[in-house]
Amino acid sequence: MRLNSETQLHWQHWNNEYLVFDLATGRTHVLDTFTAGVLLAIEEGASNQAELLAKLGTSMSVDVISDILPSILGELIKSSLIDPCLE
Amino acid sequence: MTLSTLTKDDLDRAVGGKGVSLQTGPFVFRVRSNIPSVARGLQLLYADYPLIPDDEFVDFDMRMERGVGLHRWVHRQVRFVCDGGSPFKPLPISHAYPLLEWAMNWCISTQAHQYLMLHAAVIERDGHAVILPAPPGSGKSTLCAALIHRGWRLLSDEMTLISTVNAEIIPLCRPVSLKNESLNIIRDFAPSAVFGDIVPDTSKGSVGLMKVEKHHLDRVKSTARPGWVIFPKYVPAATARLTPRSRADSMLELGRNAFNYGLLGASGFHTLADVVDQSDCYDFEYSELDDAVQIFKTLAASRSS
Repeated sequence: MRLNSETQLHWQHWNNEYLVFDLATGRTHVLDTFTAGVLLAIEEGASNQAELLAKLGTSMSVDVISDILPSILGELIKSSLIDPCLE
Repeated sequence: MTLSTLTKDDLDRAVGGKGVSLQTGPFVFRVRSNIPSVARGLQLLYADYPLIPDDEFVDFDMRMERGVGLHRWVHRQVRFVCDGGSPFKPLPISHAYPLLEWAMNWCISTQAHQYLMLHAAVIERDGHAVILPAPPGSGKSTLCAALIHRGWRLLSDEMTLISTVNAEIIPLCRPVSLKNESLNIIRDFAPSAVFGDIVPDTSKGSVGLMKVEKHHLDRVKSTARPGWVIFPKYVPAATARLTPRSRADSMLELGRNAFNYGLLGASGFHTLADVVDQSDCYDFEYSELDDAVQIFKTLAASRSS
């Protein structure tokens, strides 16, 4: 996966609340800490599940991440923030 | 030189002729009309506002004209004309003055994109502003009108202008629009308040504009830092109470209440984030204005101490 090619993200966070503004769509999204972590990792270049797990695994167990990652990625795709490009 | 320096005859002649140019906050409006209630409203409500010489630049050139065709004589109407266009449907001629104020809001909200503009009242004390966004009927203007008679400074009743450079709030300081029951509530609460003609049967019910006291206008060039974002809601018989709310949710709601958040793109996002970052955010329920005043006084003291 990768960021939607049109997307430019702008970030703001307060404690565990994250806001991201997508310049491509003009939409502002509120994200929880984990979803924000996934999107930040993708923004920083993680392009497959293994790379995401490597980036995120330092703060959470790999099992937990593996369980919830598919639904998080699904939400980010639905929001047009990321593209489900082939690995 | 303020508008009060003109005699009634001079003002009538000017408004009916080449217009009067008035400064309110950062904007200059030129108003022309041959409808007497327009000059009468201006004379009362804008007496203390700066009068700008005819040959100087104006931001908005507005005309309130009589209806066309039969509507000049039968079911007489008023039309708002701006830059040669007439963006609204004509209204009954008795609505001419409220229409002027609504049209001024329209001019600003559709064109002043150098600011982030929120549909919100905003008041200030000790340099810190309270932004009061709320849908119609929430008691926003009533609360604002009450608080500016109890030590708070009016920045704007209807529209919060925010600098996209430094997130400072720019006073607009126009008359406060009150409707229906709010008119008598504020008359009782602040007997010194001065109102223009009360116009019944508008699309918003009975509408009256409350004059801004001169001491607010004297500080119209003083900007304010954001201090609080408070979403007010009038709830009959409710005990006045503030409930903290999340900054992220507050920012989203402010964005929804903005006239041009989407249009400003990243600049709007960062400006709004800056505003919220400096603000404590609350929901506020109230029924009694005296209780509301006390809570806001405590809030202000918490910042200044």
